[in-house]
Amino acid sequence: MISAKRSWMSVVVMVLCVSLLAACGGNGKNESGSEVVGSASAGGSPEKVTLRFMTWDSGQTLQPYQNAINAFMEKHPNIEVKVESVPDNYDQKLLTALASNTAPDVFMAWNYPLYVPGGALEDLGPWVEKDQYDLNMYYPILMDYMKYDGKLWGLPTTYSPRAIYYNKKLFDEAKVPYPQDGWTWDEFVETVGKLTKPGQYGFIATPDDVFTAQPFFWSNGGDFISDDGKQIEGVLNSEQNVKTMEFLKRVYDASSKINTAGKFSTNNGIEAFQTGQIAMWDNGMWPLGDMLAAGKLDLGTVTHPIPEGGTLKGIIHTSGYSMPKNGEHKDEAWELIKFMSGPEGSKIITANKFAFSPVKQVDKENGYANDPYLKAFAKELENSDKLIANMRTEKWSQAEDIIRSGFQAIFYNNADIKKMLDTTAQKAQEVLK
Amino acid sequence: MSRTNAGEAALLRSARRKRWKENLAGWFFVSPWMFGFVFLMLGPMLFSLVISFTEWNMVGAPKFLGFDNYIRMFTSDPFYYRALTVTFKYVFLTVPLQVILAILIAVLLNRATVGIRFFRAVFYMPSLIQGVTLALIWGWMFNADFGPINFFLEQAGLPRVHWLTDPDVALYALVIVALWGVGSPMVLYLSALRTISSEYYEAADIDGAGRIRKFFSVTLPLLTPTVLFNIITSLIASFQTIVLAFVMTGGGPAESTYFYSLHVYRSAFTHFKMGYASAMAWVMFVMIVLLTGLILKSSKYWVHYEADGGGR
Repeated sequence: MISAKRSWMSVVVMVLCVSLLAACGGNGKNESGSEVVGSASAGGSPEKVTLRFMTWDSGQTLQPYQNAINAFMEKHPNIEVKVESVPDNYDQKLLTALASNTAPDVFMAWNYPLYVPGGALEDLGPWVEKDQYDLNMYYPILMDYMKYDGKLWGLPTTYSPRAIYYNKKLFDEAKVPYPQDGWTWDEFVETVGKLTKPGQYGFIATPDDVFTAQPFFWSNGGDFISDDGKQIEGVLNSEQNVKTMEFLKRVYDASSKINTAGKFSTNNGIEAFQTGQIAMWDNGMWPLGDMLAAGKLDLGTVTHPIPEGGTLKGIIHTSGYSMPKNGEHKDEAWELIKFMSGPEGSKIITANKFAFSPVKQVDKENGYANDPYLKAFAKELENSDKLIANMRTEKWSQAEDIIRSGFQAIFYNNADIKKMLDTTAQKAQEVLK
Repeated sequence: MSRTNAGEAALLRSARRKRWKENLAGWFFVSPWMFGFVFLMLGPMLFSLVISFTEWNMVGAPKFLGFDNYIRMFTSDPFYYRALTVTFKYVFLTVPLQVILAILIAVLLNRATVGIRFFRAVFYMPSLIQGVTLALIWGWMFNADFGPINFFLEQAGLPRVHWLTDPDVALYALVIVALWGVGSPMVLYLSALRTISSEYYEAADIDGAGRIRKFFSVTLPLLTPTVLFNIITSLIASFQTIVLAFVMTGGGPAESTYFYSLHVYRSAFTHFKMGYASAMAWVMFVMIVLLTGLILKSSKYWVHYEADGGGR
C-alpha cells in the first residue's frame, strides 16, 4: 500500500542521512588512549617516523631552522621532519589544532599562559628528568619564559633583544653625531626632531604596539602589571609611567604626527628603513644579517636611550619548542626538541648573526658580544630581569586591548596622560577579575 | 456502479502515486542543499547558540555560565558600544549612498545611445573585485605617503589626507571603498529601468512633466521593488563587514573602524572566548532580523508593485 512505500522511502532517506553524518564526524575526538608517556616504539627501532614541525618563520627567517632540521635528519635517518610554516595567525592555528587533536609533533610557542590551562601541552619536566638533561646550559631568564604554573613547557629556541638601528648617511647629511650607548631621553627626542623633515622620519613610533613599549617603562622603573600578574591599577598609572608616557608622546610628536609606516610596510617599516626614509628604527636582530649582506645601507646599532636616573632594561623576544600532550611520536619529538634547542641545533640556527643562542656556551663561541653591530643587542640583555606581561597572566590579551586603546587616545587624541592612564588602569583591572 | 467506483479508485490511486513520485523527486533534487544547510549552517548555528551560554577557549570543556555572556556584553564590555556605534554609522552611511549612486548611474546609462554595453561592463567590473584583494588595493590607494590618491591631491595643491591613520577620516575611507562595488546593484536597476513601459513616460509628457518630475514621479516609484531588495541585501552585508576593517585598518586608529564583527573575531580568536563571541554573534543576528522585519513592514507604504495597480 502507499503508506508502506512511504515509510520504506523514509527509511532509505534516513539511512542516507545517518551515513552522511558518520562520514562527517569521521575524524572526531581521538580517544585519550594515546595518553601514554613514552610511546611503544622505544629502543630506536628503525621504522620510519614522520614528525610535523610548526613555526611562524617563513622565507628568509625560516632558513636557519631548516638548516638545523636538515642536520637533525642526517643524524637520525629514520626520522623525517616536515616543516609547516605559518606566518599569519599562528596562535589561532595552533589553538585550533590543539583543540582538534591535530597538533604538530613539535611546535614553537611563546604564549604559554594561553595554552597551558587547557591541558593540551606536554609537561617536559619528566622528560628532562628521564634524560638528566642539563638545564643549566641556558640563561636563567630564558628558562623563566618556558615555565608557567610551576612546570616546564618548552625548551628555548633562540632569543633576541631589541636595539635601535640608525642610518649613518642620514645622520651625516643632517650633521648630527651618531648616538652613543647611554644616551638620554632628551637627547633622543632632540635627535628625532633633527632628523625629521618632509619625506623622512626621524623615528617610527608605533602607538599600536604595547608590547614593544614595555622596555621604556621598565627602564624608568615602572611596569604595566605587577610581577604576580594580579594588579594593574596602581602599577600602570604610577608616577614613573606618566613620565614615560610623556616621553613617548614627545617622540611621536617630534617624528611623525601620524604614523603611516605601520600598516603598509611589512615588518613595521623595514623597507622604509632600508630605502632611507627612516633615520632610526627599533627592532630585533633578525633582519641584521640580511641587511649587512645586502650592503646597501651604512648602518649602526645602539642601545635604547634611558631616562635620567634610569637603568637600561631590554625586552627579550624568545619562544620555546613544545609538544602536545596527545602526540603520537613523543620520543622522537623529544629528540628533535633537544637537538634544536641544545648546542648542536642552536649553533646552526644562530649562525650568520640571526639571533642569540639560548645556550650560554654557544653564544660565547659565536662571539657576538664583541661584534660591532651586535654589541648593542648584547648590552640590552645585561640588565633584563623582567618577564613580558603576557607571561604573567592568562587574561593579558584583553587587558592589552584596553591599554592599547588608552595609548591610542593619548597619541591620537592628545588625551590627558595622567587621567587616561588612571581610567585605563581601572578598566584593565576589571578584566583581570 | 461498483465498476465506475473501482475505476475512479484506480485513477485516484495512480494520481496519488504520481504526486508522491513528484514530491520525492523534488526532495531528492533539493537534498544536496538540504544536507549542506543542516550540517553546515543550521547545525553550527545551534552549536554556537548552546556555546553562547558557556565559557570555552576551545581547549578543554565548556563551562556553563547561564546568561552571563549576554549581561556582560551590555554592561561591562568597554568595546561593545563602540563596536555598535561604528557599525551603525557605517551601515547608515553606506546603504543609502549605495542605493542613490546605483540608481543615478543606472539612469544615466539608460539614456546612453552609444556604447551602452561597453559602459555597463566598465561600471560593473569594479564590483567583481572583492574581499581581501579589494582591501589590499585600496589600502595602497589610501596610503598617505605612497598612495595615488594623495599624489593627485598634492598635484592639485591640496593637503595630504591621512586616510587610514586619522581617526576622523578612517571610517569614511572605508565607506568610499564600499561604494566601489556599486556596479552590482546598478546592473539590477538598469534592467528594472528597461522594464518600465514607455507608456508611463508618454502619459507624463502629455501632462507636461519635465525630466526631473518624470524621474521622481514615474521612474523612482516603479523602481521601488528593486530598491527594497537592494536595501535589504546591502543592509545585511554591511552589518557583517569585517574584511575591509581587518585588512585595511585592523580596527584602528583609536577604534574608529572597530566593527562589530571585528570585535566578535577578536573575542573569539585573540582572547579565545568562544562563548562570548557566539553570544555577540547571536545578538547581531537578532538585530539584523529585527531591522529587516521593520523595513519589510514599512515597505507596504512606499513600494509600488506594478501588479496591484500602484498606490497603497
